[in-house]
Formats: sequence, structure tokens, C-alpha cells
Amino acid sequence: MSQKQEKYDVVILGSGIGGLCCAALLANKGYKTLVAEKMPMIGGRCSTLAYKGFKIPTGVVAVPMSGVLKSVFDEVGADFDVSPITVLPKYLIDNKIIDEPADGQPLSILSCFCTDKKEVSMLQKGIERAQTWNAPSNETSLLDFLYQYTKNENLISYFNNKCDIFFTVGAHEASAREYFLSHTGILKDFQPIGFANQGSISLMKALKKVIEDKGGKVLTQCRAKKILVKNQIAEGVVVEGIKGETTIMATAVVSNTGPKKTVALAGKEHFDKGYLKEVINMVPSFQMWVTTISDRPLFDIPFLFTLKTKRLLTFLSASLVSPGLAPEGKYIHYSISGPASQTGPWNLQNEVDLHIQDLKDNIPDFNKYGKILHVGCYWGELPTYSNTPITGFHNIPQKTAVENLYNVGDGVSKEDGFSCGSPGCALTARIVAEDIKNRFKP
Amino acid sequence: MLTVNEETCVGCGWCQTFCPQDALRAWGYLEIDYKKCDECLVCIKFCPTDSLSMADVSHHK
Repeated sequence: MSQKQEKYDVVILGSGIGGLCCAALLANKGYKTLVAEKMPMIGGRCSTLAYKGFKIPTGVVAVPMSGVLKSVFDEVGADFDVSPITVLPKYLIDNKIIDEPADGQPLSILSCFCTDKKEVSMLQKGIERAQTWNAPSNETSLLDFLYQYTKNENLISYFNNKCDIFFTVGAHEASAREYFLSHTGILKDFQPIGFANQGSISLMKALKKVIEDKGGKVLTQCRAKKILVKNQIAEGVVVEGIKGETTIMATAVVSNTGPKKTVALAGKEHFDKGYLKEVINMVPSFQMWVTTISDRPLFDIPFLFTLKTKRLLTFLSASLVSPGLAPEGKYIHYSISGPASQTGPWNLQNEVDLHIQDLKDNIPDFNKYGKILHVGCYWGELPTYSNTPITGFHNIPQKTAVENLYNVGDGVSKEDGFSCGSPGCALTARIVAEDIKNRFKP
Repeated sequence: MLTVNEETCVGCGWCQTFCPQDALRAWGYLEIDYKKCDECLVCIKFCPTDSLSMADVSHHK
């Protein structure tokens, strides 16, 4: 049986944020672009599950309203239907609500958690040094860094919460270096954030529309079987769709499948031992999203950080900002948790139970009016981050040992800082798109 | 008969939202209500970790 063959400038495997942002940026500049997605739906973990009239995120709950992700949408002219959370986040600690200070100073919140002004001042100065003078070693955990200045339980809890939400790993395991580099880098993009009014998938559909309007293709149920490499140069892929296998020849191959899968698809013989070791040592993270519905809002605050809980990190009353995420008259809430340790053993059922117990203990109206609609666990082959920034963490670059073969998405980062979340994925896409534009013309 | 590979299923619950019969419930692990499941195969198509399959149990009958 003869195999079909097609030719594109760029073929992209996977339709997550990294894949679709990269494809849209290149298609917009005239590159003939194909995106192959194995699932029947696009978006990966920036997608939406429509269930009983409610919209459940597959990973990306809220997106930044500015920064690199937004800049991609602006550049390619994609619709960015997002409503901002206009009120500042609040913190729930010991059953008390603490407001984020409105002075815009990121460290002024610390004095809300600790009355010892001298201790807070020392910690603030230590953090400022780490951010502006000399970042800590990658072998130091955030907790060990904090312990140099404070052992105050509330302060530690604040950093543990922030670290777990943005890094998916607690302060005792997270690299202090990556934490502080990110706060002066990619995490700046997280203010303000907003909810996509029709779910995160609407943003991915907007990018898909740009790609198709510019002559590119986005194929679903199209699974990558192999990345073709000749003389250490990528020259295409073999994909399997509903109608069988097709060979796609391309000048550049961009993988949004994660570095481990990229290596498997291309063949590990093309990569050096050091790179393979770094890829094998990548630690995928675990997080859980619970969707709770009700006939009335369970909290009057859209964005609540929950401190000193067993597991619960945040409780988002999304309907207060984007009513379209629930049927008329109904309310939807998203809560997120992570395990006590990403590298230690954890029990899936125990994690679900602790998350729900935290909802009962911290959200009073949950017990009276809340109903759990959906429990989503993400780990292993479906992680929240492919490469969790624990101590000793290695940033995996976008370029691979195979010429014209790139990785995008949360498995790869810039050398000088972990690229987390949706802006991190968009950043890797922009870096790769710029490199391709510099290296060859469409 | 629908079966889940417990080694690879992560409990993401995507299948639950696509099941037209409301026969699946993810709660960390995946529960299958065989009284409701009509073997339409939609869940298999939407499983991101390829953990669902139809097992041939005819030889047990």
C-alpha cells in the first residue's frame, strides 16, 4: 500500500498553547503550517470540557490579560475573549480574610501575615537581594531560603501556597533560584488575570481560526507515529489519521508533545547522553482540579488563596466574572490542590479526600449549597507540568540535538528561567517561531 | 465490555464529560456503571492516556 505524502514549511505535533501559538505566529508570516493533534479536540490542557451545561477546564483555569500570551493574540489578530478579575485576590487564613494591599508593592502583603516588623523587613530585603542581585543556588529549596529569615508559620504558608499554585510544587521541594527568577520574569505576566468567557478552548479555537485563515491546517485525531530524521536533520513526520498514515515532509518540526515523547518519536540514537539524562530525570507534576456547582455563589470573592490548609490552594468563583461558564442561574467554582510532596509517594484517593475535606472546612457554603460536578486529576502521562522545578532542576531548551527539531510547551524553558503556565508555553512558542523565521523563509 | 487500564488511567475525568449515558464517574479512580454503558466507544476516543478499551469477554459466556 503506497503511503500518502504532503509537504509543509512547518509541522507541529500537538495543539496545546505552545503548539497553536507557534503555528499561528508562523502561519501569520506566510509559512505553510500543519498542526497534528491526536485527540478529537484541540487545546490539550488549555481546553474545556462541556458537561451538563457547565464548562470545566482541562488545566488552564485563568489566563493573564497582558504579557507574552496576549502579545501573540494581538500579533496574529486572534480573538481574546477574556473577562478580567477586576478585584485583587484575597487570602483565607485561620478563617480570616486578608486583602492584598492596593499599593502595588509585591512584598507589602508580608506584613499582613506577621506582626514582627523587623522579621518581615529582613525577609523582604533577602528576597529583594535574591531578585535583583544574586539568585540563590538551584540546589537550595525555597523553604531553606526562607528559613534564613523567618520560621513564621503564616509567612511560610503564604510562600508555600504561591509556589504550589504557580510551580505545582511546595516550598520544601521547589528550587529557590527558579522561584525568584520567575518572579522577575514570566510571573510578572500573571497580573491581572481573567477567565475566558466561553472556556479556555475558545482561545485555542481563535488561534486555530487564524492558522486556517492563513492557509494552514489543524487536524484532530491525527497521531504522530514518527519524526523523520536524516543526517541529524529533521525532515518531516509520519502521522496516522482516520484515513491511514501520511508522511509529511517539512523544513522544521515543532513538538508540543513534551521532550520525552519527542525523543521517543525521533529515536533516542539522535540525542546525546547528557540530554537524554536530563529528559529522563524530568519530574512531571500532579495537581487536582475540583469543579463545584451551586444555585448561588459559594463565596463573594472571585479569586481566593487558601492558606494553612491540608491541600487546598485556591478557590475560584468563576461565575462572578464570567457568567457564561455556567447555565443561567447556576454558579461554577474551581478549586485546585497539590500533594504534600511531588517527589514522595502519594495516594490518589487520599488526595481527593483531603481536597474535599478542605472545601468543607474552609468554604462554609460548600456544605450547604455546593455539589461536586467533576474531579480531574493530572499526573504521570497527563501532568500539569512536564518538568516540575524542584531543586536540582534543569531547564530543557527549545532546540534539540536534531537540527530543525524544536520543543515547545511547559516541558521546555528559557535557560534563565522556568517558563511556567500559559505565558510560559506562549513564550517557548515565540522563541521557536522567531528562530524559524530567522533561519528560513516561507 | 469497557475496561480501564488502572496502570495508565490518571483520573482526569475527561471520559466522564463525554459519556452520553452518564455511565462514568472519576473520583481519583474511574467508576464504570455497566448498567448504563451501551458500549458506544466515545470515551475510548476521548481518553488522553489511551487507558480505555473494549475487552472481548465472549469466551467467558
